[in-house]
Amino acid sequence: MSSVPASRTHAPGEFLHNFHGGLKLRHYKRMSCLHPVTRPPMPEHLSLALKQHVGDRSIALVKPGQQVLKGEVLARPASGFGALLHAPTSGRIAAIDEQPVISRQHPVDTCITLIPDDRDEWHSDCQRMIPDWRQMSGEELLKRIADAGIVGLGGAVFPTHRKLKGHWAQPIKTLILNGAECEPYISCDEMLMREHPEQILLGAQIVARTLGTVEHIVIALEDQMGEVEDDFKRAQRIVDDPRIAICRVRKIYPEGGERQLIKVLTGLEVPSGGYPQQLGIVCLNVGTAWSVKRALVDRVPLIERYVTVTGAVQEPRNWLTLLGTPVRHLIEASGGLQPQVNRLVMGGPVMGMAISDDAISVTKGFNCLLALRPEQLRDPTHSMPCINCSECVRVCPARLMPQLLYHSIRTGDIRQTSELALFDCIECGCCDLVCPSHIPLTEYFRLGKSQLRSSLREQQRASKSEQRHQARNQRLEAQQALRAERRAARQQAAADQQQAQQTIAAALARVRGKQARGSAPQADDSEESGA
Amino acid sequence: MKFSWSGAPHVPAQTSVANVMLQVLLALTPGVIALSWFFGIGVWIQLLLALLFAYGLEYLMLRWRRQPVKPFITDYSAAVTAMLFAVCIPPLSPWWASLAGMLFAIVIAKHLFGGLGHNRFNPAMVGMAVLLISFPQLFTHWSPPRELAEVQLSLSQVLSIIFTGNPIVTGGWDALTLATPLDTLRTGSARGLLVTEVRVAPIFGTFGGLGWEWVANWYLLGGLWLMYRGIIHWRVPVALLATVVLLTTPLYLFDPDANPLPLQHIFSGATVLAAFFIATDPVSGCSTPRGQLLFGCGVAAITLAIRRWGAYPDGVAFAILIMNMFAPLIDRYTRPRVFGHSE
Ligand code: SF4
Ligand code: SF4
Repeated sequence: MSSVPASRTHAPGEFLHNFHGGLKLRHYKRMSCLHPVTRPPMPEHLSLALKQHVGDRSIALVKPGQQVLKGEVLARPASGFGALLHAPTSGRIAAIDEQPVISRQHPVDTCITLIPDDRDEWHSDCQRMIPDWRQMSGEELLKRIADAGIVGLGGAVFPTHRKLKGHWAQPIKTLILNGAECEPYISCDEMLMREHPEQILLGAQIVARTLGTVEHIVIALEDQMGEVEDDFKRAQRIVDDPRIAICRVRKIYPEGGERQLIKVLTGLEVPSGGYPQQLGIVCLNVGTAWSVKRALVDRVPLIERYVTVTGAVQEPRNWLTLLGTPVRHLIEASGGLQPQVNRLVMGGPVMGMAISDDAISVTKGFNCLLALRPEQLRDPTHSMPCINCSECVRVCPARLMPQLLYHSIRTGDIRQTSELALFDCIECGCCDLVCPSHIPLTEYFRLGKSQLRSSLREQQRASKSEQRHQARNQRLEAQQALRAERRAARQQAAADQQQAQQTIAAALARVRGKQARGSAPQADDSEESGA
Repeated sequence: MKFSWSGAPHVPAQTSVANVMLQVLLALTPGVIALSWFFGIGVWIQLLLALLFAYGLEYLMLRWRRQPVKPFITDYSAAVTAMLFAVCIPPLSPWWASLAGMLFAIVIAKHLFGGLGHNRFNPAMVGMAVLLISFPQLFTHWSPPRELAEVQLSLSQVLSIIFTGNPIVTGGWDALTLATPLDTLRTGSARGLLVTEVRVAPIFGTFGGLGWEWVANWYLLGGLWLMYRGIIHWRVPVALLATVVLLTTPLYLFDPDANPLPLQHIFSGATVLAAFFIATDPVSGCSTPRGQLLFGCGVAAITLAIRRWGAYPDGVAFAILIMNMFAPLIDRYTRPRVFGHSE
């Protein structure tokens, strides 16, 4: 199985390819799709983490006590790489301090606390008329996307303007909108697509204009989203763009993963460590496209998003949620937790991150809040030895050998770990789910990656200091050689001088001899000529 | 409010080692019932003996290795080993055969190699191979299938044969045992008889051995059920059976007098059992897709070679052990191409 160049003959999405492995999971999505999406009541305070994107840290542009308006920029990345953060509503900045956030490495981080004043008053920037996006250049569109603070809303939170910018070997011909939300429970994209298919298509068109060279816009849906497809078909008639194709893909987890989706739609594999752009493809989440439309048409920066609140809550549903809304507030709005819930997860059950504190607030990448009871979790206390059943090999979409990776990480065999291509693990958790021995494989792989990274850094440092050492040796040698040269030159010079002196002395002697007979001339200048 | 933390995934366990092993045991059961139907109550006694020794030794070894006893004793892996061993030895074998077999299987092949998941070799086959080599005469004492049995043994008679080792009936062992189909073929061809001549012996059935073919059918059924349940996958069994057919069909077509029908190979001896239950043992087998195909092919080829040229009538145990040796190497060179890597 090599990457078949089938896309040469088929348009993307026209012919569906397979990817290796994956799992059929029950979806549990219906329960949160029963109510139309509305906004929860305004929380008493919003807590906005400064860093909600991939990239550099941000610096706050406001001070405690300051009054801000809705849509005003609150924070800016320290350098160019990152995304702006805007005030989700008008109010007063109460504090800028350390608060719990969702992160593996830093459980607390700087957050801006905003007390809403319930006036919801827009900042003038968001009121100003802007020209029609169809009249704008790609540059201008990019700048406005950046100004709106848009990041990938599928969970990757990569700054969208960065994704759309850049020079690639191939022109970007294919834009994929990822609506294949393959993890169980999460339904925010599905609800968004049901409610705003036209706006999503519009957003896609704007992105396509930004990229300039797009020939295909593929909307990828899941197999069971028949209704959504109909909605899109209707919207497509209104938008009327021949580039748009709607495509339903098999529902196999992790089909919605970027790399898997690209493989399914085009038959191409994104090179290891590379980017889809290298294949002339850009893949965006449908929510991101919607935010682009809102920024360019409605002049609303990214201040709210669809969030699914589901699992063991009284009324599972989707909310259009302001960034910074505390998780606790969302739970209350959804009728509270069912008894015995002991795990909160941001995201889906398979890849989501556990939240240990319900004071944490919604960020740009927050797609789903999932509450689980103990019986919906795996008993973490006991795992058996690996019995080499190769179930993990069978389901791994990256075609790795998870059981060997696990052994090499456990034994600390760094070389073997990197030879088995640990960095190509997408942490999808498939291996974990099928392992009869209940080994927390994915957790091992996360650990292994950080070990591998630090050992690579170590190596780099070592090779750098090795280089430094060599450079120093060379420098010393060069210095020595130079010194030796100088010494030789000096000796030579001394010898010359001696000779010259002797000559002079001889000459002097002669002169003196003559002098004795006649007058005495100035002879001491001769020193200089000898030097 | 605070909540518990752990890394993803947050999903309840779908299966367990015990569950997998239990399903294997279940799948083996029809075959065992058929075996006892044809070869008598001795089959059950061998099974009980093997289980008893297996669990006794497993417990002692776990204690000795200071391992937690409960999770390992309840994983049913020792039961699978015992069951596979018990169905491979003659039903009237003396009691110490099970003890010796389980000593080598559980103590040496399993626990001295590091316990569950660490055994390089299939424990049941290690036990079998040791007996085959050390006490080859044991395996000449197969009971005849019920249709051909001269004497009907009662339970107490069977027990006394197993525990004293004396053939208590008149006529001795000769009255109690009958050469297996594979033995018959072997001795037949050694005497220069044609296969067709040998095959008229009453021990042969429609396409395999009388009785044997039915047992094999039930193993096949159990194996297919395991496949349906996703406990085993098609690669090893299909590769193994296909190789048997592919290697024997040309010979048969070329000279049907000297070579048995391909189906004969499949339905006699332990071929089907090996294809679905022994060669599919995960721990000592291959784990890459291509590796599993090779593993199946290898077992089949070596089994056939031993049947034809070797000193033993059925070479399944040795074939499995030999391929166990190669499994890590095969795995090493058949790793799949990682997604996004070039070939
Ligand atoms: S699924 Fe678990 S037990 Fe099976 S091979 Fe993989 S790690 Fe080992
Ligand atoms: S988590 Fe990594 S190793 Fe496991 S199945 Fe997914 S990609 Fe493969």
